[in-house]
Amino acid sequence: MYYVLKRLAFYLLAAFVAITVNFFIPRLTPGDPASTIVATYSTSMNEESLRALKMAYGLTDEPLIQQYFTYLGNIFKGDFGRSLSQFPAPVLSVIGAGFGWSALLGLTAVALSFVIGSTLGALAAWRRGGFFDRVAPPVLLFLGSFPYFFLALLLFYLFCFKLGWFPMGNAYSSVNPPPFTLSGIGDVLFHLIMPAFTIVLVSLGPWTLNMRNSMIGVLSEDYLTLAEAKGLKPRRVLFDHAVRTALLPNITALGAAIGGVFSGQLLTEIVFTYPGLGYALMRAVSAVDYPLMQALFLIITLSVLAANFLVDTLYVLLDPRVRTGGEA
Amino acid sequence: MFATVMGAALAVGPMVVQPALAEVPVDQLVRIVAEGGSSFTRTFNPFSPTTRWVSLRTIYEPLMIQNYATGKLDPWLGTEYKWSDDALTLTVTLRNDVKWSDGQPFSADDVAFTFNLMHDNPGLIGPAAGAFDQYLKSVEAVDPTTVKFTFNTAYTPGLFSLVDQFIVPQHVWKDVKDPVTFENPDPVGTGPFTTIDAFGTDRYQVTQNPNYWQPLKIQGVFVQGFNGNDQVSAAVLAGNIDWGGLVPDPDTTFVPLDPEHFGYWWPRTSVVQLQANTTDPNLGDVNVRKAISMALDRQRMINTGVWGKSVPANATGLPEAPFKDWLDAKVIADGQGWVTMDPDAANKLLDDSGYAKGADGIRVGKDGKPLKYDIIVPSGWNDWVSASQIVAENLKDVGIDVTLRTTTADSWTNSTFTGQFQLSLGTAQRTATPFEFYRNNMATTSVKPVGTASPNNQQRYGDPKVDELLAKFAASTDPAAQKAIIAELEGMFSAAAPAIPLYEQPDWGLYNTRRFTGFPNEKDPYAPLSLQMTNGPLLVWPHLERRPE
Repeated sequence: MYYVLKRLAFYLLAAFVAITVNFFIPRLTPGDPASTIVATYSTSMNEESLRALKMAYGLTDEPLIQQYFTYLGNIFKGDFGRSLSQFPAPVLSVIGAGFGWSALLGLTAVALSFVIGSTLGALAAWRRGGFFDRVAPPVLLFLGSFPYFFLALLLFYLFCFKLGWFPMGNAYSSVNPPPFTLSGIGDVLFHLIMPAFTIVLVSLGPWTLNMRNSMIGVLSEDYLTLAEAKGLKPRRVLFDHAVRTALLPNITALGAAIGGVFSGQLLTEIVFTYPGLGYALMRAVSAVDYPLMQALFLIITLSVLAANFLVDTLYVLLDPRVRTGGEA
Repeated sequence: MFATVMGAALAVGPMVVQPALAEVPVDQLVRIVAEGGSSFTRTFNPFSPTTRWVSLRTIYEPLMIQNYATGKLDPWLGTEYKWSDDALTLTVTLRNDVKWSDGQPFSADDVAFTFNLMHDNPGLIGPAAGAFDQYLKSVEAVDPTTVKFTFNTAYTPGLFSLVDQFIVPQHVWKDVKDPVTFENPDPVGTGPFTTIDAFGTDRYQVTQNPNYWQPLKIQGVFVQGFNGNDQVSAAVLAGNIDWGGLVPDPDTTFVPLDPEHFGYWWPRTSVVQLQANTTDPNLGDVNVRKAISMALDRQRMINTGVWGKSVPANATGLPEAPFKDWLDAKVIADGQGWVTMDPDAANKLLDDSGYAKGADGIRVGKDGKPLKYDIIVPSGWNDWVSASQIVAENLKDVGIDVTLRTTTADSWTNSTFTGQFQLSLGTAQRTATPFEFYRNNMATTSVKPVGTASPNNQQRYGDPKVDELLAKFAASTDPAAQKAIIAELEGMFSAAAPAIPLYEQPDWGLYNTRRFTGFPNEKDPYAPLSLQMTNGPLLVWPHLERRPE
């Protein structure tokens, strides 16, 4: 328990540092939102209306340090301001609209690649040197080294445009969200197939390879020889003894993968016009939309930290060495 | 593990989107490409610079609509206008059969209220923003169908900004606490489609205003978001879009797929120009600018950038179709020389003006420095990128070293608006008369110091004589006198070359008549086909009709 509390304190400190960096980084990017506003509205805008707009947008010329404390205060009140690129919508409603979809797509893809990749890796190591072991890892690594954008567009062109098997975009068929029924869920899943499939396809390689390598290390351990010597069935030796230990490195990677969900699937969301936060982030950056950018960065940072904390906690359950006081 | 994750995520997904009214089947709606991205929020505040597209193209309406296809000012909520003899009072008569979408009658009080609202809240953006600072004194309702605009100074071009202003209902907006930050999720307007019956993150639909003042044959529009140009092209080519979008070279990629129903119309309403920053000592020399102009291969820019669908610009800087009544044939003929490619003449002009070539073949400027410049253009604006490449190549032939630099749209905007660039491309605003074109390119009043942002006069060229002529134009209500003034300005533009006109800019527009007919096109040019920049779509809705099945 002490171990978990120690980690929690560490993550809280990390969160605070991240929030601070998060405030300053966007302000170092070039570009002035006011100019962008003038550009989108090229008819006569005088200085007074520009000043009034800046005020409404919350763009002040106060010293940075003062703005920083206002920002900290607002975060604790849950106030993220109004989006500049979607003015006057509050940042929270822009994010609220895409959050669920990003989470659905990202977590599905991560879960699938973790499960499939780890299984493939374990099988490859179990039958080391067999046909499967010689073919699967190189093929998966080859797929993973493809430029994702190209691969996704290719699959989009083939399966969505040419063959028409899958929808060309969106997260469900109608404009209003589908009802929570079997057909509604089916509709959502149908729209999820292509975006999730492409992510899984390119990300399987590392999961498989890591699992395979870790398994090979574990398989030579004495306790497995003992287990076999006890006369346990190979299936049980594989899953209850070898996989459980060999999975630890992949669990660590899982933390990073879950944390990277919102930033990592930007290209997927662009290619398949999936209404998530990745694309919102790109637009926020290109439009110099500070408030939206900050809120999105904050979500990304906090999800990385939260995922890592979960992994640390999970370790306590999976790895006896941590439980007895040592570090993993 | 997998099942729990899926279950949790599924529960989060749909919950965050608001429930709404029953949807009209998408098949009954005109599907358009008008907004980018997939992170829509339900905000229909028409005064926001980032408002939803439909706010200004279906929900709210102006008094009159400048029709860039016909060059006429079409009556809309207003039926006619009249100037007083001293041009200090403008009276607009309104239709008397208009109701707001909630059933309340529309009247002159709403018009006066809208303008006064903008006056009291400087953060509200609209075509008439800034009118009170420049020329407008007051707006009053004389009777329910008459509005009177009173001016501080005679300024007749103000007409177009004032009648272009969309009008909002007083009975709704008078209770809005802060109109700048009002999200207006359920708008009340006079336009054809005002009912937001379904709204999602990446698309929405707007259906009929039950009280619209004109007959309509379609039920509404379906606005879909796309995250990239490839996605738009795919949807257009698959026939999923009825109106809008852009595909490269439509004659070979689009029309042949279904020649009976797929069409496009790209009328030219503006001019692409090369802007040289005149605060640079050498680019400030008219002979350098003219030599640059003479070095350029405009036809090649047209062929590569816009698939041959344009014509080279003329020496007045004005596009021909919308301003044909204003163009002076003599200025065009006399100035043809400096807007036609002739590298020998360009070299001679530079030699004669004292820009000798250095050892490396690059000419040396008056300040002793070589003529080396950057031309900046937003990456991804492919027509402009290829035109800029040609500029760089052509200028190398006359001893000017130009490097193409692509930037993000935002940083490009920032550099050009603040005058911190050397060469760049630009287009003029679409306006009713050439008045704004010459003010924005040549008047001292439009010159801002380098470092101060302004969308106009990026090249920072000013001539007090232009100010005088513009003032005379603005004080006049006599079309003949105005025409003479514009002819004089055209001559001054051709003489001074404050900007270098390249080619006429097409207004992109595609349509697909498989489900709906009545779109404007070359044969029936009753309105522009472009969805962006102008109020043209309001002119089109009453013409559209569902094709019988």
